[in-house]
Amino acid sequence: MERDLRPPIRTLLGGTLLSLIPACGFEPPEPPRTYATTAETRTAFAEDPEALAELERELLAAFGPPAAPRYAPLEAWAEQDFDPNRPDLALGVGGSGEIDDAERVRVRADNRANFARQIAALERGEPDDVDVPSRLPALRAAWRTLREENAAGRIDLARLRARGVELFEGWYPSLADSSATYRVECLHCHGVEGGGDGPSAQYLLPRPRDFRHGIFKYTALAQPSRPRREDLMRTLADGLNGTSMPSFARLSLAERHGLADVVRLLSIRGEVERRLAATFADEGELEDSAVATETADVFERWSAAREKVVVAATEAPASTPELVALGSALFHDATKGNCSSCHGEGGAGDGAAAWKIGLSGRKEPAYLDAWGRAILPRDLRTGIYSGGSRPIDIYRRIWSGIPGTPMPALGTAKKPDGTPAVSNAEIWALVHYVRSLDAATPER
Amino acid sequence: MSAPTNEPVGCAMSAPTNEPAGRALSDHHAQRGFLRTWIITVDHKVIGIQYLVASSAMLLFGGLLAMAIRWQLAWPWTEMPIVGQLVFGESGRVISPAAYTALFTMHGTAMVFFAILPLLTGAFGNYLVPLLVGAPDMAFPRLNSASFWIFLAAMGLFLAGFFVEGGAADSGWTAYPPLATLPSAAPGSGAGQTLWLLAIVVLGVSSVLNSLNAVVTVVKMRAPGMTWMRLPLTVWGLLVASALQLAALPVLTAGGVLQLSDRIVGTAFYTPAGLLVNSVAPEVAGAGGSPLLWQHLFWFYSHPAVYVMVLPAMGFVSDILSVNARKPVFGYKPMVWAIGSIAGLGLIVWGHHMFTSGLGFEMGRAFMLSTMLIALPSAVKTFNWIATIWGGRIRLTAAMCFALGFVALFVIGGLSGLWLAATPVDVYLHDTYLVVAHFHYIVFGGTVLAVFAALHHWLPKMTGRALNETLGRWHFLGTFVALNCVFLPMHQLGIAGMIRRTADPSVYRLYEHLAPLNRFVTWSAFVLAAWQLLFVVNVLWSLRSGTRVGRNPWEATTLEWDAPSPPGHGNFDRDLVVDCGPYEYGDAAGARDFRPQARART
Amino acid sequence: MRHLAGLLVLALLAAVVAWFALSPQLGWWLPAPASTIAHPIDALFDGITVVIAIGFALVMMLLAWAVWRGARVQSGRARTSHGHLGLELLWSGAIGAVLVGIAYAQLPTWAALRDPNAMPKDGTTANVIAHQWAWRFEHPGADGQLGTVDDVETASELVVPAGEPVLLTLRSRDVIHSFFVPEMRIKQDVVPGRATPLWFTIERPGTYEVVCAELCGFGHYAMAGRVRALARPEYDAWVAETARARNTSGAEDAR
Repeated sequence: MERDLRPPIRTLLGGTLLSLIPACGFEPPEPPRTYATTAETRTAFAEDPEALAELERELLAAFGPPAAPRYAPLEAWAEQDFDPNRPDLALGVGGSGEIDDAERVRVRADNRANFARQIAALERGEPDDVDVPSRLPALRAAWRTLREENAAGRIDLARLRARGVELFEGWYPSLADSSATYRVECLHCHGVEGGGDGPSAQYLLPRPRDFRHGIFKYTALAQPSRPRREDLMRTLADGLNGTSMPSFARLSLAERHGLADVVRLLSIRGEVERRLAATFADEGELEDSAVATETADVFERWSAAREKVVVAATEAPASTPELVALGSALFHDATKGNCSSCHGEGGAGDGAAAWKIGLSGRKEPAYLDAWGRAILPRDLRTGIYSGGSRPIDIYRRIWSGIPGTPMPALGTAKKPDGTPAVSNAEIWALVHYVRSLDAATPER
Repeated sequence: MSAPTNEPVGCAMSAPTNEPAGRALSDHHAQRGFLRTWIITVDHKVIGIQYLVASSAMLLFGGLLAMAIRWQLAWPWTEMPIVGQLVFGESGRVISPAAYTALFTMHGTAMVFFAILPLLTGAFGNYLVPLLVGAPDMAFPRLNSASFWIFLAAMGLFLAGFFVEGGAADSGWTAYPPLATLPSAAPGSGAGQTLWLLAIVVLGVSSVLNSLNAVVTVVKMRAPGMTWMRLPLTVWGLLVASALQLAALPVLTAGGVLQLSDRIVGTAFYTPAGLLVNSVAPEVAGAGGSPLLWQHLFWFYSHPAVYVMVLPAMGFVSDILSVNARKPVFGYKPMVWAIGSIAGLGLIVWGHHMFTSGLGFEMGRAFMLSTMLIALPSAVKTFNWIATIWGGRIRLTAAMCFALGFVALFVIGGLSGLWLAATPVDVYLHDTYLVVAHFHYIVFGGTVLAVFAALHHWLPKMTGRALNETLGRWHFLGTFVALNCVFLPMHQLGIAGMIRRTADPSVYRLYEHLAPLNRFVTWSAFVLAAWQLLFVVNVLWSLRSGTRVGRNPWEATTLEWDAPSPPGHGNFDRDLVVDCGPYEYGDAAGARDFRPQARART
Repeated sequence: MRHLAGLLVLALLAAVVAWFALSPQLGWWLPAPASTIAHPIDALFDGITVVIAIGFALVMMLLAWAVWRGARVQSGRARTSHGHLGLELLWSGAIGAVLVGIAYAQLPTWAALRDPNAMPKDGTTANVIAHQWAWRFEHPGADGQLGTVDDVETASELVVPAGEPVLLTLRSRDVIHSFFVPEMRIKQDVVPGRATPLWFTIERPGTYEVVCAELCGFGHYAMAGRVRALARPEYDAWVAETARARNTSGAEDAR
């Protein structure tokens, strides 16, 4: 006998439909993030868990939590009216002035192109057509606020239009906004603390960068140095060829600046933590103002990077067979470039100095990089240049070396009598020889 | 056992006459115990039910994976309630990019290889073929049982992938090299991919044995008088599907063995020279291989596989439409011809998966033509189905609703195939959501609806108890509406250019405006999934307290309705001889509006 | 309830037709075409859409009618008809003709896309290098020749002249990728171990997104690029500017 199932079915149907209504605007919240301390820190503070807790509190106070990073104001900064939380604002008006006028113009132009659809809708007088990509929640919220003010009658359509256009054109993400972008774009490789230990990191070779050493391999600078903003921006825009660091050219200029801000903060925070852990391990205690002192010091090194740009004495000369032959000679000359000792006779990365016989009796890489991983010299035949393929990019690799790796700085090397080991012209010759090794470009 | 009579056993809602047989059977089972009845058995019916249970479990598993995929597409990089913390705790409670690739890989593999194919050929094939041809069991009962246990072993290998280092296979159910062959290319291309390949190879053995069994049974064990042209179309569908499996599966097995060799031995069947993967040049012997070789070998099987996934379903639908319209199938011979053509053409269209792979100009043209042509037999069948019910006396049972739903949604799936068959248009649509829409309409809107129809039609025979018709029709309605809400918008997503296998569509400006569609699809998918509870409740309720049915509750003509419900070992309790076709319904059938195919042998 | 079944089929027909009719206005349709080949492809797409629409409407109306009548008329018996050869031939012939027609209609466009004879002899060349998970491009530089010292490498952005034939050579460093530019309707798998040609002409200057359309690992979803098409004068200016800037001493970085 069939039971009358209409009542329970009606309930099920009705319940389903009713539950869908509040679902329409459903947005799941961001999952929580917390900073973890490094293994070294935990080892250093092993005997004193209270001090460790204190350190974590102070770091949190100095740099904010992962979802809302910001620099706590320092005395030194306050005196100069310097606020690194707002690089887009000028010095003295609540910012740090790091985005200069020229760059600000570029950012505005990029915003105009990036938000062309939205700005066009506003200029047409159709604010309803304005939609903000869901990956920019803070901008979305700001636009929604403007719409609400308009709806409430506090601002009229003309003002909405003007302020809307300014909102999009002048947009620069706050550190909190950029932290949300970091979570989506960067965290799965670089980790919450920027330690290069996100869930995807274990599958990648080379590993994603651990920012917390303050060492960035591919900059335009004499080493040792922290990177400039422009170096981080170049890496973000072009990626690192030969690694899994992709190009983020699809993000707007403003978003990339924001990511550079977050990476810097994570790097400084990590470096401060490392220094304090080392200090505590040595001295058994930390001063009250230790965090502030270290932060100011590390930040100063970042600011000083601007002065260390490597500029060649001349523009790149045209490549000639003579120059390439000179480069080859230097490459193989142990008293000059000495490149073949690691990079091999043919540049295949198989030079004898790069290998050793390990405990197992098998050949293994002789060197570790600054992050503790085995590292091999570049196979120059692939034509893959992580730091860029322009002649000046390779010049800089040779001149400054690659920090964190055994690649030495030839530009500052001196002969026993104190004179430079290689001249500007010789480095250019090496550059052209190296580029000639690229198997895919026979005429290079 | 009831005494044999000359009259076919009739409509049984009120007067079940198979009770003695049913009671004898359950007494017999009670003696042998649960293990000997349901686990260690060579009875094709029990093996069919074993397959049914196992592949339904995999269907559920694949469905759960799909829910996670839909969550990610609607709200990328956010935390799923409960599941986020339990399953994805190590990646910050969100699905990581690597986990997402494993999700859709295992979803596709589970559905194609471990749910749909075994449901059709393993569950229904094993259960129905002997009954419909009038045989007491399959040709090789012990081999049949072995097939099932080998299938379970394959399932174990497949699921083990989730527990190894690097996680489950994650290079798509299509497993294209070098992504699948090189462990450095993807985390799941380590042990996970090896287990996946082993699972596929072992499954292939099971499928070949099963198909062999079915073909031999139909060829050799038909009841007297059951000529080829009197076979029900369900049998034709299962027979041709089994033949297709036999023809094509060895090629996949060979391809899989080559990939295993590449991975384990270090050969280079599929690996070209000069690669740099994850900064490492893979160490392979020889290195002159071609990734395209895998594509040819894989698709040579996997395209016919999709016809294996639809031909039995078409057979079920033909039978169910006929029974419930009280009218013969229109154009029996053209229908058989169409089944054969689909299978034959199905073996020469595989290149249409490779139009953008670098197949070449002339090859593209050739495959385009064969692909266009294969639409013809499917269209012929569609018109024949409509002609079957045209002028019929339609009983809108739940089975009939699902069968009609199959026809409607199979048409949508087939028509979207026309865009894909035109090569220049396929250049745009390949690897977009239009392909996803196309095959889900055929497999879900088509095959799965046909499976529901078949379950409503034959579960009473299998269990001796009726399902609730009202609940069944409501299940159909909600499923039908939700299905369309989920998969119809996917056409638009594909036409707008949204690619498949993407963890975050919002990366591209081109897809930003598609977010509301993705969210709508996700909500509909949740409703669709939840709605299936109605069917689960229906089955469980039926098993517990469904009305007992007689031998022929649907007043159908084919042989399985002569046996008791459920049939005992050996199926029939009298010797049968077949003296007419399987669809004698209507005004020429005799005393009643149907004439059973078989009568007792005198 | 019997009537509901026929109505359900009609409801499906109405819903599908309405949905597809409204989609273009809602923006859920093909993006604006940007290349010369996009037009014949779109025309083919539209033509097939018409065929699909007519076929779908016809079949659904027949199905709805059959269901409606069959569910309504319950008395008496159906006619025991086993088929009709004439009808079979009719619909087989009609459908076959439509299919052959579509097959024939798309041949010229396929040839334009893939026939080696259709490859442009002159035109701007560039190399595309796909790897996990970025697009890199090698432009020929001021001398117009690829494989020479002055080649310009870029990440993510391919710069080409608009209105002129472009010939790309696609190579992969690791796994199979696919170079897909939706607005241009162009897609070609980049298979490691071979150099695959791809040609097109972009109609008007603009920036067009490049999407990787073949699963290439877990970074597949983010493998974005773009094609920037410049009018010839701007393109020449770009070539000259990059050639000049390439040999820099780096002084501009020390501002």
